[in-house]
Amino acid sequence: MSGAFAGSRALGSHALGLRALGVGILYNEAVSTLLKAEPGMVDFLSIMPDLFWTDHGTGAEKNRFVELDSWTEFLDWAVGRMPVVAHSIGLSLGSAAFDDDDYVEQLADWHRRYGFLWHSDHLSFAQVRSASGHEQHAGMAVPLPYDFEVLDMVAGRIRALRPKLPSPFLIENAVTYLRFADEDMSEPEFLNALVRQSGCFILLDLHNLHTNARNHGFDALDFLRRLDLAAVMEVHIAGGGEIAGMYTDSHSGACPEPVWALLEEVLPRAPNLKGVTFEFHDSYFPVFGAAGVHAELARAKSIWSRHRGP
Amino acid sequence: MSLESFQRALCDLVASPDLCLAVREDSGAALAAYTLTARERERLAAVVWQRGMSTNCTLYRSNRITPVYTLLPFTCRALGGQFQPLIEAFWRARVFGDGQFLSEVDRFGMFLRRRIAEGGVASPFAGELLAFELARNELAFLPRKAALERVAALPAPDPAAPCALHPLARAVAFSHDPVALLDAAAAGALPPALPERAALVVLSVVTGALTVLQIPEPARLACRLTAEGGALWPLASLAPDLARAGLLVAAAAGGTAPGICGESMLEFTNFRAP
Repeated sequence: MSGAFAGSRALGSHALGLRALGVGILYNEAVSTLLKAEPGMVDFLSIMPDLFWTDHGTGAEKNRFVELDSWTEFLDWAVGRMPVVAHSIGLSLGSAAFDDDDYVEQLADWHRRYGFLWHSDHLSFAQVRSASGHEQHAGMAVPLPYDFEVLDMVAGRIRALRPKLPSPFLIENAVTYLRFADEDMSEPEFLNALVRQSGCFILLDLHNLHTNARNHGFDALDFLRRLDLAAVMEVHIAGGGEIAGMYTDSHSGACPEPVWALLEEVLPRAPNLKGVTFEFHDSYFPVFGAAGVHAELARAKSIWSRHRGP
Repeated sequence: MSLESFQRALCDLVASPDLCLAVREDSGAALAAYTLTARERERLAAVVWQRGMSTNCTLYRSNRITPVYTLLPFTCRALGGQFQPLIEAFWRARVFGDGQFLSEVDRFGMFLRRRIAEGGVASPFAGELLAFELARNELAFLPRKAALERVAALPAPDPAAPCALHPLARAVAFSHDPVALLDAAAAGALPPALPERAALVVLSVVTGALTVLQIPEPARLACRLTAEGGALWPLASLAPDLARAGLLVAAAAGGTAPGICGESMLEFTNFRAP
């Protein structure tokens, strides 16, 4: 058990007090088999808590969150062997009309149970109220315009959330296939301001950045120059592919070369970076294979070691 | 209110290529139902021309179809060419409420049952494959440990006393040979027809893995089950296979074990009595 992991469970964690972990992986069912065979293949594990339960919705009269036994059994196994961090998908922090206190309490309960070192979610929204007042899910993470009005709203929601989760909170830069005209700020300006106003850290998804840069024709390195990299605590790397002329963040396998190049840029310039997480979608595992996963982890570890030491 | 309305409009656009086309045609009319600032209106009128909006619409449809196709593969195969118009009719009838896989599949299952009952589905197998897959999914997502703990607290089933189906088991009635039908569905080679034959199968995850047991004399068993509200009586003569497989549990007289009996409700929506 790592020192950082043990400390966080006993004392709660503080961002600057956490030691750097190294290279981790985002959990899916294929990862379960790989990790059981070789727990030391990663330095930490990232999980999406939402996938570990069935949520019967805000209208559920009782037992809203029904946990999946086989998944929680794996988590119980993993949490004694490696540091674990949480990456939720349900906060919908960019929603102008959505709050879910029971969901936040469920996340907080899992923090108490599993001692996640940090918690992240996305800079986007997925939940709205339909015209008839019912909950409506967007079916995807929908991007936000980088306006002062949106900044104030999201910062306020993160400030309200942070005391409820006993670990640092990270916001992930969004992948977006749309561009909104006449925004008040650029994306790096928005993220920097959000860090200042809310006290959050940044989960810098380099594949999201690469996807946006490629589709919208901007310079990803210039984005990095304008982002406060001292606020970056975690980095995501992944692969993607083309759909009808747009490059998408499909997590379909190996990271493209530009993502590795961005990781080489970020690692020496992000002093508070604690971990690099490789993501892939398990539906691609039959093609990608265990060897593919191991190759991506090995390359990430090599870059990590070169910049941070073994 | 304005930002809230902007976000709702954006979601509606992602969910509806038709709305995107309407905004292209006449943004003022198509967005009239939303309370928007001039900037928000201009943004929405602009994004419907972007290639990325087509990507979003594709991703929305992909994300919404994935749970249905993943959790109801045999049913989708049985629907064949009717699948596309049926799922689109479902999407028009129901907004994507909460993004939860299981509830989305259950809602589509209810929608499809109604269509089958109305005679709107051509496949003779869709109803029984749907019932089978809904039962299998329900079992896959049940809290297994809690159910086993509840059963462990019950007395052992008495061959001479009423009993119920194990809470980690579900019965599904078939009107065609279940083995032939499920094998054909798994192979993706459903025939146009199969001889009709009433059968009852019991799915179980009691051991951790899914097992499927075919029960003889389904009509007789089903009639007794229906008459007795889910309780099997007498155990030894009516359901010896279930008893041997450990799929029966004691049912307290007078329904004093509602957690067990209630969760073991049998599925007879497509059962045809001889």
